[in-house]
Order: sequence, then structure tokens, then C-alpha cells
Amino acid sequence: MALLDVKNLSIQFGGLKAVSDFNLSLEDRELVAIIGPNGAGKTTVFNMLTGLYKPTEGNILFEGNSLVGLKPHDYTARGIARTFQNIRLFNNATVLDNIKIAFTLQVKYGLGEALFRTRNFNTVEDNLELKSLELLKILNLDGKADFLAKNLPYGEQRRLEIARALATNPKILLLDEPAAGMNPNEIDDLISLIKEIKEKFKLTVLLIEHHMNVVMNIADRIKVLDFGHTIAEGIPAEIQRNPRVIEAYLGGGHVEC
Amino acid sequence: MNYLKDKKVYIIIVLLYIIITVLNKLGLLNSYLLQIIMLAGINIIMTVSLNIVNGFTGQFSIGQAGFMAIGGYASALFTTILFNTSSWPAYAQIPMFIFSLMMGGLAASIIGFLIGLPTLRLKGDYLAIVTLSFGEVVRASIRLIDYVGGPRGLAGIPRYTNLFWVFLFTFLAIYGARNFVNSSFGRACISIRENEVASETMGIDTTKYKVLSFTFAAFMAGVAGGLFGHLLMFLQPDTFSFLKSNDYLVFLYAGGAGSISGSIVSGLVLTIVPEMLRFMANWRIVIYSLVLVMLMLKRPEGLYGGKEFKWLKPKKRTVIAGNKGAEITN
Repeated sequence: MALLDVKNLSIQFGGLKAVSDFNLSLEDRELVAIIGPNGAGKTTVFNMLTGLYKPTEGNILFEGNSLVGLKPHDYTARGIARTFQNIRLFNNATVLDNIKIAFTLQVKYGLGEALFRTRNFNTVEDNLELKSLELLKILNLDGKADFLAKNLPYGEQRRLEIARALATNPKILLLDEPAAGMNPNEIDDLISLIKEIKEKFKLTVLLIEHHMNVVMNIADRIKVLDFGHTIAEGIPAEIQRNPRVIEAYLGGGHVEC
Repeated sequence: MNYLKDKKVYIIIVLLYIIITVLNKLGLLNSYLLQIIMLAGINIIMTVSLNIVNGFTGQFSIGQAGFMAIGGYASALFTTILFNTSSWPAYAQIPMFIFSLMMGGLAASIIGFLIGLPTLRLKGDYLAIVTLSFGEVVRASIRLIDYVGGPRGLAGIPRYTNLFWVFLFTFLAIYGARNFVNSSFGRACISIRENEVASETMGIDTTKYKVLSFTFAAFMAGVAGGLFGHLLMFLQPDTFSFLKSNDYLVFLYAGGAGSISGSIVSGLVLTIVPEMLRFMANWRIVIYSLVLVMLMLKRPEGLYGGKEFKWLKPKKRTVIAGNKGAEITN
């Protein structure tokens, strides 16, 4: 059984059908990329897969259970985490607190214990700090733990978004344009980072990306969206040669790799 | 070492209490000044409670005096209306006073919960309008209830509030707020303030935490209301009008939203300064307002915006070697 099974997912905003009949079957530990021109509906798919938008039609089955109609935090609790294309960090909190916030679901103490700082509270908080710092270390951000998130450079803010998503202990990680605005060096680092965390955290990854060298490098499969419709699906080599994809991107001609 | 450093604050608080008591006993601090100090304490509790909702959770609530009124009347219900505690033996009066304060807090938090559940889905201006109306509904309703004195007010409340209780409850409010903010509960609230969408996708049930912070703040305001009633020995619904809520908003933003230290300083300073300016008669309002205008021009983030006293900062948890980091998952 597939880990995530998306069937005929469609969403309509007024008269506009932003995504129609989107189907996706994600196997455990797979890395699938969704590509497509701007406005193709990629982020809208992500928003439906994380509960931020309620699909007009279709179903989302995660480990066999339907998720449609649940609140976004339930999606996260079940193991779907994401990053945002337009970075959404907790800007006026420290980097460390950003991670600690994402750990909230796993923190086990009551309000009373927190108010009176019981021993259990202190143990849990000590361990929480330890785990958060470990995670920051993996993402190479441990030196910045006390910085406010808004004061980080752009590339590090993107990494912090990934770290924060990992803290929720996901099974599926949705990355929305993680390489946007990065220079070629940073992109190379990002590629190895994604490979590394995928192994380390046993993740299934769904990726939206415009940088083709990222996509072609790490994706097991690629889906191509255009105006809300899936126009192609296959392994990277197939997609590169697919005439419909080339047409969608360039209106005919070469695909830049 | 850390242990001793932590203790320093407690020692300062106890010393402060002793100094004020001694000054009072020596006649250097008359009962008028003592009363202002006690009012400052109550105002600190109110400002800190408003800070939890507005400063840390980022919800714009402006009817905090409504909760204060509920707490004040609910606690007076136990000490004055239901039981005539002033005729009780002394040893029974104080426990009843504490019990009544808790009941005041509880009543305010129950109402806070009931109000918060439907309204905290609203954002920004809309929430402000609802909470503003809530405060007025409370005031107008109490005016209509003859059982608690209606518009005439409720007189004959025993004066149980003294410097000791004000110190204790102000301390507890600050201590509670600090521990709340520096726990996963407070961090969840801060994440809602910073970015509600991201907060949801981090697995945080934003409605639950908003209602929690609202209820928690209402409890504090309720206890402050109880202290207030048992200090002035008289409660009148119009005391808790929008103007009173407005005072606490001013205290909060002058001190700095999101800073407990700011609420303490502004609660203290803005209670005492207008009293010191009393010799200027009506000019004092002008001066007071001008000071606020200057403050907002020079420091729009408030006196202590983004800063905290050391004692109120999150604890640096040094990592012990060999700590396995277990317990928090599963």
C-alpha cells in the first residue's frame, strides 16, 4: 500500500479550477518532484496536502486513512510536514525557539507542571533543548541558536524552515521551492542536505522546485503540472524528452538542464 | 551558582516588602501611599494578564476590565453576600478570602473560556470589537443585577487585601506568567503571534492555545479584581468601564507588549506618577498624556520592548554529558 494516495484532487476558487484531477501515489522513502510553470497549481496542491485548503473534490489517503476535512495541525500530527515558498519563520523568536515550537506536539507535560516548574518539566525541557540543538547541528545552524530568526541570512532561513519541519517528526516532508533565491554553491549544499536528511530521518519527500539541476539530481519520479492539469509523469530522463513538458515550459525548443 | 542567582530575586522581593512595612510602621509612609503601592501591584497583575493575550499570543483583546469586574464581584459574593465573613472568627476569615479570590479567578476564567471559544476565530479589529463589547456587556449586566447592588454598587466588602497579599499575588502572577511563557504552552502562543499559518503546520492547535491563553489571562484578571474589591471595600460596575480596560492597554504598550518586565515597570510607574502629579490638578492628565506621546515617539516598541529582566528570561539549560535525550518522544 502506498504511504500517501491522492485521488482525483481538485479545487475550485470561484470560477477558477486551480487544480483538477491531481493523482499521486507516494511509496515509502520515495522522492517525487512536482514541476511546472508559475501558476500551474503546485503550491495549491501542497496547501491541500497539508490541510490549509479544503479540496472541492477528491480524497487524500495517508496510511489508508482519509485526511480531508481535518485541521492542518492534524495533518502534521499524523506525519506530514512542510516548508513554505515564501518563508514563514517565527521571526521574533530565536532559532532555538523556532525548533522548540515545532517540537510542541512531542512535549509531554501539563500546564500545572509548567507553571510550577516540576522536576518532570525540567527534565523534558532539558531534553528538548538537547534534541533541538542536535537538529540544528545537522542543519549546520547550531552556531546561530540564539539569533532571532529574522536576522539570519536568506539561505539559513531556508535551512531553518527545513529543520523546523523535521522537528515535527514527519513521515512525509513537503519542500516548497527550497532552492529559491540560492546561489549555485548553496544549491549544491542543499542537494546533499536533502539526500542526507532523507536517509537519516527515513523520509518520503515531495518537492516543488524550479531549479532543474536539483530536480534531475534527486527525484525518483517527476510530475509536471500546467494550468492545474497533470501533463506528464515519469522518471527524470523521460520528462526531459517529453514534448508536452518542453512546450509548457518554453513553448517549444530545449529544456535547460 | 545558578541556584543562588535565582534566589537573589526572592530576597529582593522580601526586602522590599519589609522596607515598605517598616516605613509604614514608622509613619514615613502613610496609608494613602500604601494604598497606591497596593493598587500598583493589582495593576501589574492586570497588565501582565493582558500581556499574555495581546503581547505573547498576539490577539488584540481590549476588554480586560470585564474579567476584573467578574472576579471582583464573584469573590465579594463569597465574603460579603453569601456569607458575612466579617462576623467570622479571625482564623476563618483569611482562608475564606483566599478561597474567594480563587473563585473570582475561576469565574472570570470560565467566562473567558466561553467567550474565547467562539470569538478567538476572529482576527485583529474584529476580536477587538467583540472584547470591547464584552467588557461593556459585563458592566451593563452587573448594573441590572440588584442582588449585587445594581448601579448603586456593592458596599461593605471587608478589607482583607493588605500589602502581604498584594505582594504574594503580584509575585505569583509574574512567576506564573514567566513560567507559562517559557514553556511549550507559551512558545506555542508566541508562534501564533508570529505566524499563525506556520504555527498550524507545525502541529499546533492554534484555537486551543488561543483559548488557553485567554482563559489563563482571565483567571489572573479575576484574582486582581478580587484583590481590588477587598482593598477598596466597595465595588461599582462603572469602575470597570472601557476607560479602565483602556488604562491597561496603555500600561501594556507603554511597557512593551511581549515583555513581562515592561508590564511590571509600567504598572508601577504609571500608577504612581499620576498620583505624584496630583498637585497640578487637571494639568496632570495633560502631562501624563504628553509623557505617553513622547514615549511612543521615542520608543514605539515600549520601554522594555523585546527585553526582559534576567530573572524573567528563559533558563539556559546546560547540556549534561551522557544525557540521552529520551523522554520527550513517545
